[in-house]
Amino acid sequence: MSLGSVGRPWPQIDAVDKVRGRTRYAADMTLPGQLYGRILRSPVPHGIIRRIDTSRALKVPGVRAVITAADLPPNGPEGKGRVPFGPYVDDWEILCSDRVRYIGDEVAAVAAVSEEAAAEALELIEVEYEPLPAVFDMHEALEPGAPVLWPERPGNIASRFDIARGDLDAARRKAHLVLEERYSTNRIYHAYLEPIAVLAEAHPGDRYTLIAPTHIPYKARVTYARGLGIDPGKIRLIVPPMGGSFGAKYELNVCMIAMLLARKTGRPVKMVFDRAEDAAAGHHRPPLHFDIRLALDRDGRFLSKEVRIVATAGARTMWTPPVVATAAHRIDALYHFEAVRAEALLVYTNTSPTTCMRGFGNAEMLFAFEQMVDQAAEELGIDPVEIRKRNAVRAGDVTIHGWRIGSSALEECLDRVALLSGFSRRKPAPRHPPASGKARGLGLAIGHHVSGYRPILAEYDGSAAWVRLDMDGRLSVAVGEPDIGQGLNTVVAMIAADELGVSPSEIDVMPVDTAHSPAAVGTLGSRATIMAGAAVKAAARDFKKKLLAFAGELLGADPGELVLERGRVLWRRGGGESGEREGGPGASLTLAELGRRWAAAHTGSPLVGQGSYRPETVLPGPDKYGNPSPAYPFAAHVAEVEVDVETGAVEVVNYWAVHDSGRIINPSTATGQVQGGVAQGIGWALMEDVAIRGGRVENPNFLDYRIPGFQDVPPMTVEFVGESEPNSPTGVKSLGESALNPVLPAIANAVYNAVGVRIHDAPLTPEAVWRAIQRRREELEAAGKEREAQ
Amino acid sequence: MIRDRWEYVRAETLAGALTLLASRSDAYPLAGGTDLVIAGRLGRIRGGVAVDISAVPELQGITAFPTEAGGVRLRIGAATTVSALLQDELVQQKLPALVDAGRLLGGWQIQNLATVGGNMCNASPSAELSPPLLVHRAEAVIAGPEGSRRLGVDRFWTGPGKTALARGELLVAVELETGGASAYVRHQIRRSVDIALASAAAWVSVEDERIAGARLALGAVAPAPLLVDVAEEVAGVPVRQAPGKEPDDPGAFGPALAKRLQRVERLAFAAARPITDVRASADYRRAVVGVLARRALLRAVQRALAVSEDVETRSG
Amino acid sequence: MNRVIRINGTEWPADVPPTTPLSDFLREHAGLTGTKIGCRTGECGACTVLLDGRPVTSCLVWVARAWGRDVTTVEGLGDDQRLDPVQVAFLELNAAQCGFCIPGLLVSARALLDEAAARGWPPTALEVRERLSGHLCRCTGYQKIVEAVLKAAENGMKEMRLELG
Repeated sequence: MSLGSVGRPWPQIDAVDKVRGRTRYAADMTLPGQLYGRILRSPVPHGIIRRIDTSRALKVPGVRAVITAADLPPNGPEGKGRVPFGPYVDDWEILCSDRVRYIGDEVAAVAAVSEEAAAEALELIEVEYEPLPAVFDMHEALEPGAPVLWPERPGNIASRFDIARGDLDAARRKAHLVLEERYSTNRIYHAYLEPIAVLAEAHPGDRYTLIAPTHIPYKARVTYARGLGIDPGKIRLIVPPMGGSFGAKYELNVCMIAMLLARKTGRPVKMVFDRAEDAAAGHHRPPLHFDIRLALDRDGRFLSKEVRIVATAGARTMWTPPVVATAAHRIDALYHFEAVRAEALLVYTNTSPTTCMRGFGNAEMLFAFEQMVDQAAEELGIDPVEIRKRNAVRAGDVTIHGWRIGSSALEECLDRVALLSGFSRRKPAPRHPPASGKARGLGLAIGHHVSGYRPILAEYDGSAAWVRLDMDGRLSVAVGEPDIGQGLNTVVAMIAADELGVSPSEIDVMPVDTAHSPAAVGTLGSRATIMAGAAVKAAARDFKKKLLAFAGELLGADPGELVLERGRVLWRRGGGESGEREGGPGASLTLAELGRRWAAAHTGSPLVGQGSYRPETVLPGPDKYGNPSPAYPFAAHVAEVEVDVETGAVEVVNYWAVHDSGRIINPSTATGQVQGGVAQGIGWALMEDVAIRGGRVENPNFLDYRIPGFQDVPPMTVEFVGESEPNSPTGVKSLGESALNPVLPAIANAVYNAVGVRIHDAPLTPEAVWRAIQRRREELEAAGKEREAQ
Repeated sequence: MIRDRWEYVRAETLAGALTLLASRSDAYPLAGGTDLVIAGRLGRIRGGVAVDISAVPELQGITAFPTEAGGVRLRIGAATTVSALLQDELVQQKLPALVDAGRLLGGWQIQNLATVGGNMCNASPSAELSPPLLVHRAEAVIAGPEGSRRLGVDRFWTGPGKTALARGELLVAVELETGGASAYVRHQIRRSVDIALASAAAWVSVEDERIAGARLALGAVAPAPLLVDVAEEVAGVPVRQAPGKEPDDPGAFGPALAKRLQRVERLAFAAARPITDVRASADYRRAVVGVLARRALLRAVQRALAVSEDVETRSG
Repeated sequence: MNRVIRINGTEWPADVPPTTPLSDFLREHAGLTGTKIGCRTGECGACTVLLDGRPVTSCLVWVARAWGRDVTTVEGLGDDQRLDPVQVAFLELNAAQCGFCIPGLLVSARALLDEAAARGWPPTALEVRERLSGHLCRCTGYQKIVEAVLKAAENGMKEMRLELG
């Protein structure tokens, strides 16, 4: 299609509102009679609630309600009693009944006519806690005799994931080199700029309206309904524009608290976290610990891989179980192994519950594994590019767990990123860290991801979409996947626009609202573009068929002779006789006319095209064998760093990222996704770390929890390679998460290349790098002395 | 959410400000607000009366006046914003360390609000402006109910958040000597807005390609910024640009200075009494501050020799 | 003192408690929710507005400090019919993803461009990065924002304005 938008850079369709400050995020909305809610959080990491007295708080002028666990509605079987619930493990309570398990656990909540009154009331709620021994470190939590958070789950295990395939012994016997390494990644705050904000209204008949940013509205309301003991259909969830999330704003306890406060007061309730509350109790990326044994043959081919993972759930389980499962085995769709085994434990500690974040366990494993690949390459004297090519999956391959690689341009990614970065200029890492000055290094890493992951919520496989023409000629598209700021709405508008022969700016993409959007699991697992895009394409085709048939009736034409272009249906010339005013080749009808006449002919109904997409995947069974995703994206990144060897400070001075994400719908927003992913990776690699001492987050602010600023991110070179993905109706794969996944190891490998020091624990702060350099010098000195002594 | 409660009063004159400040024990001067408003919001101060001194005439402006020795002395009003400081041509020419530090103090929005006096009186051990003021031998001009007095800034800061100001006293201005060359470097985790993990300012005067005088001050490694006596270590040392060396290279200005710089580093290391906190460990701060001391001195020498200016003032 | 603030060229009565944060006044009293609140401690830059033409974090400015002065918010850029060149550049280059940091960035960028126009030469990329370093963005990695400001500097010198449909 010559006039198509797909493949060309296109401004986000909602960018005009964004640059004019007219985009209304949740905190910008005010409902009539609205109250302000605030949460009283536990100041102790572990304890029994002996007494709560809310009487003084209730006397504060303007306070309309104070709720505690005693006010929670029944949610047990047959509407009786309270039972815990949760998205993966039933360990959520809305408000703590008898026990608090982390500093920040929700104990009570207040609704008042002003934020000030609500804050004053919070201070007047008296709670008596009987402290219990607490455990903050996941390794300590696994030890016998450690304090137990959930008596019904002894050993503090929230969940576990085990997988094994192939003959490990046979594979290991062929080994020429075995690497055994320990790596760890740290707790990261999503640090979206918009603090968590929600509005709730209660209606008669146990019905609610909730305005809350979430990736997964249809799934979230199921969790909320379980918590409230109602049917999910009673919750209408409207997703407003979201000021960033990156995985944090999935399912949030505050939504249920707001709903209950609204129920109790009969007034709408708005709740907005302040930054310290958001950063301390708004959930984090989990820390992961890896023990990895990798066996290779003489040529650098991977034989076996054994992995043990320990991860922190925090005090309750949010979305971390699938994160840990991903860390345990997704790498097996990047590289081939003859045999693999992984066991992963998710462990309770008295800390803020962790949840998923962009990269979802895969980025963590790649931090460890991509460094080990470089270690192996160095030991075996193989080029880092070459060793990756030798082991990587290729198009048409079936992986050890049955995942089918429909397309892969990973080799092209590697070649291209090596060329762009001048990777051949890379010198071997120095044996001795340089004594002074700044040392430069280049580091390579590859990564991949899924494009939707069926096992995560198999009941919502695929996506549906509607394309609609209203009586005034306006086109709109509805999908069930919220735009989370990445530009999904623009991409689906572009796909629809090209099918319908209009400009994307002529298409409205409806906000996701469970009252009238197609049901979908939402925007997660890098699925939205492939799933929603394919559904929109199908819906647009259905729409076009109906539209042309109707236009054919009006014009007296065979629909096959009609085309839809530039906002009108045209009867193509060449049919022979010239027609009357309406009818005959050359005649046309605008969308506005068609919309009006369709509505008139159908008692006011809009013209609606429906479409859906069910990806060709194979749901892994109990043996975890199958093909969970329709497509797999790949990427190769190179970082160039400058290490100040006297202070340990690392600066990323250059960055190159080459991606195979199948067909690129919007090169401008796609480039932005990669740039943003790389920046997040730089932050994680070099400066970000949620510091917890005694269960308390010590840096819940942007001064001490540093995300990269303008001067911390270098100009980046981003390119896309690869062809259309055959298993995807629009040819796309995914990008959002593969953008982040290779960043940490690329930087860590570059630091090693610069100073000859390998850092096993993220982040590579100046102090961590400085210490590693000191340690390396001491080791070399000791070794030197030993040699002298001999 | 902390509920700080403030009364707001605006002072039009210095006398008025002093009266207001003396009127209540919970009276705080308010200049740019970047420390006081945050302190209230974070619950470090529960409120009181904020006396807005930003419009008091005596606290305004940057003025130069000649000294008896034929030099130039600069007076910087306490209510001068960091932006105004950075835009002042005399400051740019005469007090390069202060410009280095000002550029690193917060982002542009903070620089447009924060004042020189506020940064001094907040008395953070890591305050950017303190080491440069120390090496330029700044004097605090203080007004109080008993009249006014002057105090060398080496005696101005007495601990974290503590100054030598008595109750009811107000910092009116700071006065500095000009001459010589200076530089400020800091170490941080984030290159964009951050707080110094450690910092150093150096001042040198060079005559006939020899160091005539030198001063060094360190930040964020003690309860208050530290002046370290290095004059004897480097006095008389010949300095000449060594070809092909980066300005951060210890040998950039010849082997004699390189050797003395090792001792400067050791002095800085010995003087530092840092703490461990969420930002960095004490031993790391200590190791780094020696490096910073050396780099600050090298940059000051570089400026004294008026060789090409390196505008990058971050260490890392 | 007259308790009035000129916001985007219009005088607004601001007879609220003098220690009301300007950010709250703008959002709750003047109805200008384009100015966002991200931290309330001056660390994120989302609430940036221009006070007498200079960017400040409005969460740290009490209303009393704005009495009698000019405040420019994102709503004051461009007008109903036209976008400011810096808005056009941000839009065209997709410098906004989630958009939450953008209103603050736009007014700072406007001030930076005004400053550059006054001195007569456009800013460099390094200068843009230093000047805007008090703004945090979690989505974009900053590159498109820098490119947009530089592009607007080019266009701004030519006084180009985009006509909205």
